[in-house]
Amino acid sequence: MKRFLTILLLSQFAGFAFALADNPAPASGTPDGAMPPKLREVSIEQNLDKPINLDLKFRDENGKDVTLREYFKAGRPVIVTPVYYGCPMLCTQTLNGLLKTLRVINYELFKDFQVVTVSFHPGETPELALKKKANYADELNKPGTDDGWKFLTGTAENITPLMEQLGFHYVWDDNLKQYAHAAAIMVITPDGKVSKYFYGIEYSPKDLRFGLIEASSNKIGTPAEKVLMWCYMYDPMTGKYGVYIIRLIRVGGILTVLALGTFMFIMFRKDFRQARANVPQVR
Amino acid sequence: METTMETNAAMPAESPLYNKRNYLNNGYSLRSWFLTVDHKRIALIYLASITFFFILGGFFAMLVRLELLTPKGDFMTSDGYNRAFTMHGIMMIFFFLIPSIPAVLGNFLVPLQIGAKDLAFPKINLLSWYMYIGGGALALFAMINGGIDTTWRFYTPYSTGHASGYVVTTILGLFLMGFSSIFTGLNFIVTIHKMRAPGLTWFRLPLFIWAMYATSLIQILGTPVVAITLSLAAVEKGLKIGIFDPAYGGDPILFQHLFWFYSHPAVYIMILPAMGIISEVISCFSRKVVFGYSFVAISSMMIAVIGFFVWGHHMFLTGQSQFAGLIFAALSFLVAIPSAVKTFNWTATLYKGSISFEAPMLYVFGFLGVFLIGGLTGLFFPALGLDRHLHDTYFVVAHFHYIMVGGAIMGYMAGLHFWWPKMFGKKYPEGLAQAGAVATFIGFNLTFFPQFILGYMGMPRHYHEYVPEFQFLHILSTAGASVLAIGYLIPAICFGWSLLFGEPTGPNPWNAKGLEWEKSLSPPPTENFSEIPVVTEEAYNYPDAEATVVTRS
Repeated sequence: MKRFLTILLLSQFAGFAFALADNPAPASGTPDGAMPPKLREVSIEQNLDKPINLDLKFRDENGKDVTLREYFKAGRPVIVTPVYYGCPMLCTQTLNGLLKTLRVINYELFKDFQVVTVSFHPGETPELALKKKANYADELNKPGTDDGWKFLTGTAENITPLMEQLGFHYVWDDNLKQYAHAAAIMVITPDGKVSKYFYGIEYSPKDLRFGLIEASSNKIGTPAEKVLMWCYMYDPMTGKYGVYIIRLIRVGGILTVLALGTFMFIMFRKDFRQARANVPQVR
Repeated sequence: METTMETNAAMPAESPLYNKRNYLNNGYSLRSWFLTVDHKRIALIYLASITFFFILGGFFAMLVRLELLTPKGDFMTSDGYNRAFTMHGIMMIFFFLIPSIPAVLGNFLVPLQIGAKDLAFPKINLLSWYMYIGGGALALFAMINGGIDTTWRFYTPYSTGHASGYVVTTILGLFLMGFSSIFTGLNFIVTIHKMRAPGLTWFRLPLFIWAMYATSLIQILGTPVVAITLSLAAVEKGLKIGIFDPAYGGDPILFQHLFWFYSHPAVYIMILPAMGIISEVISCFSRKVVFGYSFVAISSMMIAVIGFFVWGHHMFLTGQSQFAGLIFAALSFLVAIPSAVKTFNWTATLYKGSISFEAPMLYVFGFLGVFLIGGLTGLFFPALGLDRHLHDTYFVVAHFHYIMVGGAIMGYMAGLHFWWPKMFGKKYPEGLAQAGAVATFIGFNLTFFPQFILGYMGMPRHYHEYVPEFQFLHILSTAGASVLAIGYLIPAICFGWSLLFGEPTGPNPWNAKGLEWEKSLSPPPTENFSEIPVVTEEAYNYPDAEATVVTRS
């Protein structure tokens, strides 16, 4: 099922609010008049289970020409993070959030999964990508980062279709000279289908890990995690894994109360009927 | 001297007042005790086990009080102090208070008071003791290996991400203990429903039975939740899977919700049985039926039910939403109603009664006083604004000790003194026992009243260092704890003396009403009653207040 999820970004929104302060107010009577018209184009459309074109061409941080297909190997899900490197605020937050999560995830980069950061700014160069990568590789300091976390740049004819397939809608704001966009990362299956969206700038390690396990069709993850996943379910509305265990406890609780209640009801009714019928009375 | 002792010791067996063929001398082998299915013998081995854990918990309490004598942390390290009060809490709450009255007096009295030969599931009853002792052994193992420092509440992430020591072992111990508690509750509910003597209708039941029934409901409904919650915390710690710890993507507030969903009602597991005992004792020593019997009975059930909807008042300042706080505040005030019904009705029972002041009754008076203070200070916490000031201070510590030590343990002591002649058929030295009750009352108040003041002045709990201004009150508190220790030592001496030299009491030394006194012997035979008793009168049907008095030793 297709869902439209508009993520409003505080920083961008504030920027727009200032920018629009000079402009005449948007035509009154629009259904969602509170939202600046441009922001309405900024959204994330969940293309769950839809394929992305793996033949699109980009350049990696070393300036090498690559196709996306090179990063998709059997059994290895791919995390795609649409950002641009010159972004003053939000993209750095996105990458920092991912970094924080990658630190605590105990799967190995490159061996178990791949991260591909793609710039959606066609003007950006591999040099800038390399700088960005150096920062994050230093911070993460884990084996496999070199091959396992790629920072790509590309041309508009490759970027646009990829972002379209990912459902990632953004607009260029001429006043601010920057992009208005949402923050999210996607998990793609090894055969190139969009599997999960995680929103915001903080990604719960549990959610991301479950996302990776599911996207890999259970190729990665410990047996214990696979058992635990049975109690969790991905909720596309929130982009999080909901704890089914809570539901289990609730159902268990209700069943206990019902069982005990029924027992008590039957027993008390019997007791009071008997009491009315034949009990030695005083008086 | 020696000869006198021998004659004294030998006397009970020869006296006509002492029931010769009783549950105590029905077999002497270890097997006859540790594989027994007799509820009375199980009650006694429970009595021995919980006394052991009480002494252990008391030892840690003394460590805590000693450390707090001086403002500087000079007796223990911070970490040592954390471990001391954690072990104090775990031993006292899980291994003493929760099983205390239900497993000892409940086990002994439920069949006797309803005219049954035993509980409905005697073997499950024995199993419950083994689970309790298994859980206790695991907790002891953890303690010997350095203990844990999570506080008895096991808040995540203290207990998962950052905990050192044998947290998982302790949790496993509590899990076992929890199931022992569930088994006891289950046994009582079925027994009370199915095995009452003919004529013993619900509103003729002793109020202790009503209290045990309400307690059992809480045990069955609440304990599984905490057992599962603690297990999940252990799973999280062991497998590093995010359930409660935010570092793994878990939700720490969820832990608190689940924990307090049990642990608040757990307070009622401790206090409700004590209230049952108070009703029994107050009626006997006033020679009057309990005023508003049915209201007192129903109020036990009300407490059990409402008790499940108030847990959020522990979490006003720990991340719960304001709206939820508001609802929980309102619901928490409701618990005061059934508690007040009981307190007022006990007081009204005394009115125009023929009151005498034997040791059990002195404990009852002590209970009434401290429960009133403990209960009313409890109302400070649901008040959202005041809670901000009092949260996590010694005010909280003082309040729950007033309920759990002042209330529950005084009730337990009252019951133990009251039914001791029934359990062993022997007298204890009354004067000494009365001195014990008075020492307990004085020691208790001296220990915990200063803590109300300390808390109100801002002394936070869980700290082993404090500003010098607080020292005087802390010294008072530690001095009080020493008096309290003497207050607990005296009954131990009384009971020890009673076992060795006590004179036989006869089946009903208090001239009390109730099947256990009127239709059974002291000590009771294994089968409790020679014939199935038939009940033809209401509970506490004391003829006329002035006509009967308690026979004194």
